[in-house]
Amino acid sequence: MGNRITEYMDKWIFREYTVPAAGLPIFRVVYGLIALIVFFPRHLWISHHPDVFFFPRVSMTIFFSGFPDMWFFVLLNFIMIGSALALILGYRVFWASLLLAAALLTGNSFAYSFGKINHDIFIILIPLVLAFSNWGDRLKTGNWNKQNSPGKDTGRWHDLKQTGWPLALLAMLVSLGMLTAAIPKITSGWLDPSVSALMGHLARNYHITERSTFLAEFFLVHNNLAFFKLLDYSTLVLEAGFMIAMFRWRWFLTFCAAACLFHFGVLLMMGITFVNNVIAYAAFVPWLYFLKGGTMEKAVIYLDRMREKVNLIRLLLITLPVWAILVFVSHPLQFSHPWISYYLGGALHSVVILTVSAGISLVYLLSLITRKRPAAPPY
Amino acid sequence: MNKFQVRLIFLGCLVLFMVQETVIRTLFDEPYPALRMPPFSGTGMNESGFYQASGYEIIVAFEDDTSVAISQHELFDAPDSHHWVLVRNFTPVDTTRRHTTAASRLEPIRFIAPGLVMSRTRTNYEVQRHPDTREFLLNRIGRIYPDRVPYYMDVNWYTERYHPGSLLEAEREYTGSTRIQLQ
Repeated sequence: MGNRITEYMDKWIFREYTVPAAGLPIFRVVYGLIALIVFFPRHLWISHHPDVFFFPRVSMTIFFSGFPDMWFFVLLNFIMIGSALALILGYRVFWASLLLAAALLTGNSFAYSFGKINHDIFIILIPLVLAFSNWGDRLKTGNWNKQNSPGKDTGRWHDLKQTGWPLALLAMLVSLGMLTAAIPKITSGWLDPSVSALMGHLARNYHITERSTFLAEFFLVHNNLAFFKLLDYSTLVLEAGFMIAMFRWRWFLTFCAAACLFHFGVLLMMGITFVNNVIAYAAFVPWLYFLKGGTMEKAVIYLDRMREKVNLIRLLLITLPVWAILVFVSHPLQFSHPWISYYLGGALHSVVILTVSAGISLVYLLSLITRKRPAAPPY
Repeated sequence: MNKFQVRLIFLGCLVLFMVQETVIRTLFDEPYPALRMPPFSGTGMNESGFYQASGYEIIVAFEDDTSVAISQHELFDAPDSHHWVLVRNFTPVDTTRRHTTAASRLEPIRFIAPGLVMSRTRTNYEVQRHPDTREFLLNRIGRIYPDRVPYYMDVNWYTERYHPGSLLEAEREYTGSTRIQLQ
């Protein structure tokens, strides 16, 4: 019995996620690009606040007596932007991943020392966990041939890296994270058929937090209890169901796709942008599907050529202007306008990412229903 | 790293998660970092069948006897996720209440973990009366109204109730105010 459990767990840990693991080097670039577009500049607002607002939770900041000066966060942004660029260019990926995770964690620890924690831990877990995977490999490698196919595990470290266990670990962490959202709901009235919790949160979000969106107004007027109860229960099934889905990559991918649609709905109704979650789900996409010639393949080949030319000096030379523009001028790709927030729920860059992810997810889910599965990855 | 070590990592993560959910959260508060997602717990509905929440309005009075209501988005330059926790510093306070017991108990560890002592002992009253708070608010309001001299800022608190049949309209009950003298 014990052996069978170990065998089953080993199969899950070392073999289940080998297909998406093959595409992790491409996901590394996607993550780096989204980080540059969405995450930075980051934390610069903290030092505008006096230390009288410093209320650290149980975190590394309990050892400080206040917020650091502006220069600290300016420097932290340099490290984060440099690390993200290193991920895109494939330079010292292992160390860049750890450095990015550490810098994000440090900055976030101060940002959440006002007493409010934003639950965006996935953006830190991605580089931290995947640093131990094959995501630092070349983008278009010759690795994925029959002799060295994903899942072929000879027990040596390099092969073990390619079995996808870091992705299985990430799937487990994402699922546990989602469970922490489901349990408090289940134990605090969300199951009650006579009252919709979502309706209450929508009203509070609209009136108190002042996230007033077009769709929120529509649903506050047309607040059908049966419809909202359906949303309540769907939310619970989705959040708790990850714990079962994580044992099969295809189930997990289906839940990720459904979650992308859920986050898109939350964006439109409540103006909350869960881009961090969507990026975590993207790690499980078999990115090699998209490498069948065309623009993406050309970009991959170009980036791989760049990788050979990158060294520390060149990386710093690339980082410097990007950092200067993002930190001291303004982010050219981040745009927000009250109309966009009202009709689409947030800043344009976040809306675009969530809309694209919802669109891809919808196509994927429809393909499951119509049984038109995409062709196997090209390896 | 071999298979055994990888299995240990999985097991270690599970154990850490359980410690986070049971020990740390019970003894302290939500730690950071923690593997947690926003809970959105509760339904928000009271016994009378109304959705209920605490609401507030921020009023700034100027020296020329005029006043304006300003939104949290105007007043704070933190991300909007942090507005509520910032404005919560301005809830009406019992001026006689002090964390004297907690303060004296935690004092010995101040030199190691000053942030922990601060967060456990500083009261809203102290935040509201602190000169840095006044300076911060003057600076923020000065950016919105550069040509006017703010005299004080009121944060008026309400209990807001929404009937499930008409959620766009709120029924407000005044619960208290906090005045921050700016001059």
